[in-house]
Amino acid sequence: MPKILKAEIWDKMQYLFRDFYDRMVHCVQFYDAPIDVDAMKNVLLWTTEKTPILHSAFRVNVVEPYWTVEDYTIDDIVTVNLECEDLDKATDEFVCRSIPVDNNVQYQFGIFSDGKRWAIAMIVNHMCMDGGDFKYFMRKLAENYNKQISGERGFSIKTGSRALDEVYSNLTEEEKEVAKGLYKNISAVKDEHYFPLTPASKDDRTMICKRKVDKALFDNFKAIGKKLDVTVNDLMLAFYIRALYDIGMFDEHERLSIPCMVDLRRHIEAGGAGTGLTNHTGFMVVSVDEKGETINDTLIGVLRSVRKSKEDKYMGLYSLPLLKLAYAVFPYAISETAIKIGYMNPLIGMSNIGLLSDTLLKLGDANLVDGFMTGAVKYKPYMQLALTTVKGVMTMTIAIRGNDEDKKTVERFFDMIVANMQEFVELNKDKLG
Amino acid sequence: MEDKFKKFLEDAFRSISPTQAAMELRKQTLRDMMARAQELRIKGMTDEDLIFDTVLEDYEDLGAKLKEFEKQEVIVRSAKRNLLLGFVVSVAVVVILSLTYVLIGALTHVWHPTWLIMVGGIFLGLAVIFAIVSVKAVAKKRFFVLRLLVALTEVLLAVFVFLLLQIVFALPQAWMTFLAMVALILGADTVIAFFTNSKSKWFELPVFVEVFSVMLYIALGILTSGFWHPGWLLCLVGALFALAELICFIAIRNSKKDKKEKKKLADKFVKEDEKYWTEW
Repeated sequence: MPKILKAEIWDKMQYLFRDFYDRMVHCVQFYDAPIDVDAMKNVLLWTTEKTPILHSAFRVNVVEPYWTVEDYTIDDIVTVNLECEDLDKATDEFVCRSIPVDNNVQYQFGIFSDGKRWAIAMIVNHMCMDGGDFKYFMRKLAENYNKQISGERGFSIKTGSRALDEVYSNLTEEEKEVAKGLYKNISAVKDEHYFPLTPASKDDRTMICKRKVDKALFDNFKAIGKKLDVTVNDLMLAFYIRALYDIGMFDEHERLSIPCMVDLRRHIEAGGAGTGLTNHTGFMVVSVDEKGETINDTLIGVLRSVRKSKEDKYMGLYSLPLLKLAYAVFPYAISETAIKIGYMNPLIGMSNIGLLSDTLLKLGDANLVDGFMTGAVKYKPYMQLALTTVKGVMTMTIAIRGNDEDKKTVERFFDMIVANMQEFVELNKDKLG
Repeated sequence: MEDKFKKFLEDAFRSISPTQAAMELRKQTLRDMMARAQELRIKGMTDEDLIFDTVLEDYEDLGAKLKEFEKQEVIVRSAKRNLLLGFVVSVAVVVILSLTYVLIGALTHVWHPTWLIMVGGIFLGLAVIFAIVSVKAVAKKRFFVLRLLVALTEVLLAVFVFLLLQIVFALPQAWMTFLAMVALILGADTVIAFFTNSKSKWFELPVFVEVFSVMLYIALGILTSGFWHPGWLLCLVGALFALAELICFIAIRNSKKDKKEKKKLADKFVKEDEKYWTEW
């Protein structure tokens, strides 16, 4: 009789999202020196043992789905190829795949090298964790690996509750009462603008399109932003939204709303350090009434919207009680259908995953030199821009199932975003230095 | 590896009493640890030190578990002894009651209604058992069990009182004990509901008052001539009490909510005023 784990609300929700994306979260990190494969395998095995959800299979059930803890070996998880001809291609191919929900392990890990550079790549079922916990997982992996190679002991990984209710743990009793009454359905963004991809076809393939932002350019717009008291996230939203107007050829005076992912761990005690690995992601809707004359005008529109959201102390907590109610009242099969009727997946989104710290992700003598993390591969017509920064270099990624034509469109879109960055720097160069 | 596990277990098991069961548990734990280590090797863990540490991490709370094991062992032994004692006491009580009944019968040639001694003894025994179970239920906050057992005890009491009044004192109105029993059960249950802060307390109180009024009305109607009218007003008083209680309940609840809302609004205005004067 296998051990059963409860399927939490976010597990079920992420499973419901299977119609919109491939449920995988992806990460690739490049290093300048060899990685000890044996040490890494030992650490991965220890981590997997401490996190049963990572070696469990999701069982769909009409009344209540659940996880069954499964047997596995390290070979089910780790792939090693230290003689790659093309390291980028090898890591790309590795992360562009998907793990079935009923697989015995819910993540896969690759160690690659072409003799000059070394890379680790990982994909994990989004039902097990989101970007926030994925970053934590990679940090802990590095920390434990470093202990392993130096003969230290005392590995650690968080193993607390994966329940949705943890999201209220840092609120006062009164705030909790209010937050648990936020039944408003915010998934209904009511924006029908979509990214101009070709129609879905059976020949579409998974692709993670990437574009690095020149370090000097990134530093410049960041510095200007600092002078203006504007965050990188606000700036990227402005660049992104303006580029969307251009690529989608939307009417410049039309209102455009896009959801921006927010980490709900801000509402959790100690930033979620005591929970289990899971999803705690919500979103805030950013709306601009029009494109604006210049990028500065777009930025003002973004700031108006973002600041309004940021003032709301319950940001990201809307709809959660509604989801909980739906899953509590009905058997799973009915609740899923009911939620599907009420849920509208945003057509366009943005997720700023943030910094992949080269200090915290150092593996022994191997320094992190490059890398990215991105969300699930979206199915047409959905798309999302993800942002990660390594050593001051920002990588924009858009993971989609598409064809070469779509790839060209995404590349053109990246060009537009970069052009907006340049325009912003040009317009505000007096703020530099 | 095995020696390291043995050493760990030897140290850990010194914290509890050296019983046969503890030794068996120690041996079983060693077997489990060895099996777990082997499982980790099969899964692909190659570092023997890490295997040892990982297995030990599974037994982080072994100290607490051993204390619990020891406690359980004592509880089981104690429970066995208590069961034996309970059985002996029960048999002794039955024997004493039977002997008393037989002795009185033999000496006085009165066999009826002295048999009530046996019935009373059995009822008392049951009441004692109910009381013990009730105390345990309260400790575990299982108030439903407490309420059920108190009601059963009251039924036993009512039956015995009825038998006494009917058989010994030959009172024609002995059956009224059962009218009192209904009111008593509801009354006691309402008291428990208030003491345990049950959600149903405000519902139970008017029900009890109304039932009590009706039972009293019936009893007085039978015992006192001419009470039926206007005695029915007694039932009306019960209903009016229930209504008054409902009004009070809603008024108090609303007042509490109003206070809460006002406090919230006051906080909001203070914050908004501050924001107005400091916003640029």
